[in-house]
Amino acid sequence: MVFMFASVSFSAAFASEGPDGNKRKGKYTYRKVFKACAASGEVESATPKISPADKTMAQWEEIFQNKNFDEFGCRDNWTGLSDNDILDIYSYFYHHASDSPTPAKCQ
Amino acid sequence: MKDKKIIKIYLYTRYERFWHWLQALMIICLITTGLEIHGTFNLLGFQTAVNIHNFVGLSWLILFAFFVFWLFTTGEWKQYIPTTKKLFSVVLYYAWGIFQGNPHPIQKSKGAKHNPLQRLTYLGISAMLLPVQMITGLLYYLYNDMSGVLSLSILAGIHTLIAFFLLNFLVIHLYMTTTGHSLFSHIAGMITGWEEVYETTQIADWETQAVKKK
Amino acid sequence: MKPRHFLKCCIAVIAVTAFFCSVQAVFASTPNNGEEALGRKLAKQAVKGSKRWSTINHAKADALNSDFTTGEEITKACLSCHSEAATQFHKSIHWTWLASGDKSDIRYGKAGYSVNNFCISGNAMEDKGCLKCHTSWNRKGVKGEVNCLKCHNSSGFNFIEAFSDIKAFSEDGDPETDEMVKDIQQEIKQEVTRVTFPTRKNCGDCHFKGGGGDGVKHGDLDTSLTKPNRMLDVHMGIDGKNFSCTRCHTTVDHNIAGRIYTNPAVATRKSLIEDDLAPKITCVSCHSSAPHKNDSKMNDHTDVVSCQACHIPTFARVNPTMMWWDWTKAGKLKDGKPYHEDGPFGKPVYKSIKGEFRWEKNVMPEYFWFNGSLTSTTANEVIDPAQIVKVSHPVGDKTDPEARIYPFKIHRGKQPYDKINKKLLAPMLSGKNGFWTTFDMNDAIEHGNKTIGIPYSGEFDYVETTYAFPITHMVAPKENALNCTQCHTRENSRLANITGLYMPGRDKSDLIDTIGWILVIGALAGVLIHGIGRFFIRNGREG
Repeated sequence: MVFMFASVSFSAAFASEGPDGNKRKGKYTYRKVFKACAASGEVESATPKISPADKTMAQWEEIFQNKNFDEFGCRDNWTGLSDNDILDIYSYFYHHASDSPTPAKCQ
Repeated sequence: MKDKKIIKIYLYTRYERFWHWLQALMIICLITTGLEIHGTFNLLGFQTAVNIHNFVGLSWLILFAFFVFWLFTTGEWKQYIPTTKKLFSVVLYYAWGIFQGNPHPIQKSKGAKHNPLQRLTYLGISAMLLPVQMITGLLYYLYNDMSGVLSLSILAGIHTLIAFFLLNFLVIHLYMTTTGHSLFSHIAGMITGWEEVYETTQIADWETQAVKKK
Repeated sequence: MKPRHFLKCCIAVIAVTAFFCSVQAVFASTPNNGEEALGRKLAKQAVKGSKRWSTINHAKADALNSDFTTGEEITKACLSCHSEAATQFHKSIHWTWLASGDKSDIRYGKAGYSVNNFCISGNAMEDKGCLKCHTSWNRKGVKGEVNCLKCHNSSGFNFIEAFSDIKAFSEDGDPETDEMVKDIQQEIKQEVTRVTFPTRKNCGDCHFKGGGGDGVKHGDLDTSLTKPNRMLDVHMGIDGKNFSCTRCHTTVDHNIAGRIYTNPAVATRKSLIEDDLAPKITCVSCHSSAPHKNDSKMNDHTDVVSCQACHIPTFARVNPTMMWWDWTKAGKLKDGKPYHEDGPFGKPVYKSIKGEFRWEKNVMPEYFWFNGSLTSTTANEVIDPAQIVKVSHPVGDKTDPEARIYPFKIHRGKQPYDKINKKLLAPMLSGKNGFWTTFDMNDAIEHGNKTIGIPYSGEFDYVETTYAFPITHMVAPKENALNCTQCHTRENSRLANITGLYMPGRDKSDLIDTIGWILVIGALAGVLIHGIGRFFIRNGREG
């Protein structure tokens, strides 16, 4: 019951005007993922190569709905994330996509 | 018909010939580069045209001084004294007589190398057109240092107009050289120094040493 | 051949050869003696002692080793040592946004009556959208604290975003974000110590992006100058001299040389030889007014032609620049929402909030007489709407001894004006009353003109305007300087609009040319006829 409720609310988050996770928190969670990645040596630098402005809102929606995180690399770090964390990161990317009012690039 | 024996007399000295061809070269060079600067065509590039025009123009100014010196020290200036005697008969010859096959009313001699028409033309060029051209050219060259005293458009206008007069002279002059006994006899004369004249021409005693019997 | 003849021949040959060798020298545009041009020698001298020596390492400064939560706290830390910096800075135009630096004179300046044909007006600093580029923290304008880091921090770190995140995380009660706050503050502590004299990026973050985007306004200032090569700009090229902006924009007491409203950037052009304390803002200061080598004709031009005219053949060579902004088209919505359309170069050609644009690259400048000052039409001046209004235009003419021919970018556009009072209007753009929210131009003008205190009749229309920017950056290498024929040519001369002077190659007297060619062609025709006549008639006669 709780599971169904959780998954329904999770998908509901996708249904409306984009995800409503904490995009501010999502930004730093994403950076933490990459810092860990860099520490383990899987990527070259801690500055993430992929920024929200690299894709449109629709493209991010597809990636995060299908949980297709291959492009980011560091699969292990991603699988360790909680649903809330992923929602937060998704919110950050969606609301700063290239066709959003405030596209963002990682520095 | 009188006995029309042709003899050669030595009319043009080495310096005179050298000066003639050098000046011809310089004038052609100046007219060509001048027209390029004027904007009529593109050949060498504006900057190169200006550089050549300046160099040749200034050289001419200096070399012209030598010419004037030579004119006066050798007495050659007398060849340029204008006269109206037989002027009309010369004009008539070129306008009409030459087509009849008539002989030229004036024969060249050491004392009178130029016919009256030539004297007038060459005097006008050497004493008026060329000096004005050189002065306007020099002022044009030094224009930037004159701090706006002169109007460049007037200076350039005069310089251009005289250039056209000189080009006009050049065209006619080149053609006139073909009016000798043969097409190239006058040109040959300006190269070798020896001109062909009819023997019955009055030749003074002091000139006989220069006469070569054919 | 007799020996005497032979000798004379030899002399003749030597003389002629000597003559032609000297002629050769004329063809060579650069001499073989390897001597440097005066301009280059002096410039090298001017920048010889340029290495800065510092007595502080800001990473060791206690004042900066603090858990900052706001930008204002950082400024306080800077001022704890640099005690006079804020007072000094408050008097400069970068703070007041007024040309005279004095509040009593608001004729010119973004905080005054000045308008342009881009975003039009700063609305006395009440249009918060513009204040992103004010040197204060958090868009407070002159009511705020000086943001030293905007110019003096080389890290590129977004302090404002960091502080906003810290504030949000501290108030949300989420223990995970409290950890994040600590991380952010560590980062701030690290980046705040990267103190420097302004780099090209510091100045460029605002000055490359004026008018709302990269390369919109100046044409010779855009992000391609952050790390240019010397083909784009010989002075700023990272493979060239790598000059920062302040190397030429001499700064004293935070007053940065180079600002032109109506007063010229510098009173007279002087080289450092003539006055070693002269500001280095003009080319002449380092290169002198006779910088070319051996070619005195080019040095003869420097009293009438500016260095920029020949040495900046085109601008916007890497990134395009905006050349046309038509406000009449603004306000169109799609499904009730604002939209934008992109065009060539990937640049927008339409934005609902702004109107229609046109961009160009490798733009050929337009040339005008310029004595160093510009005329400005402000929002308080009566215009003639039947003409194209010159909102900003260079001042000068041939008779002005200080004027030279300069290259300019002329930006053209259409902007609103008051139909009754016949003055240019200053609509408010951002914020709840701005055009970007309401899409009601009349309303935006009502609010906008109130901020600058100029009455609005209630009726507006659009007028075509121009705005001039002197082109002085993106100096090309000397090999790419203009060729003589770019100007000294009859057709399509770059200086076709410059009147009042005679230019060989471009100008001529039609009368003299007509007379001349009639004489020459007439002579040719004449001798042709004469020659043919002789040929036929004489041949007939001589049996």
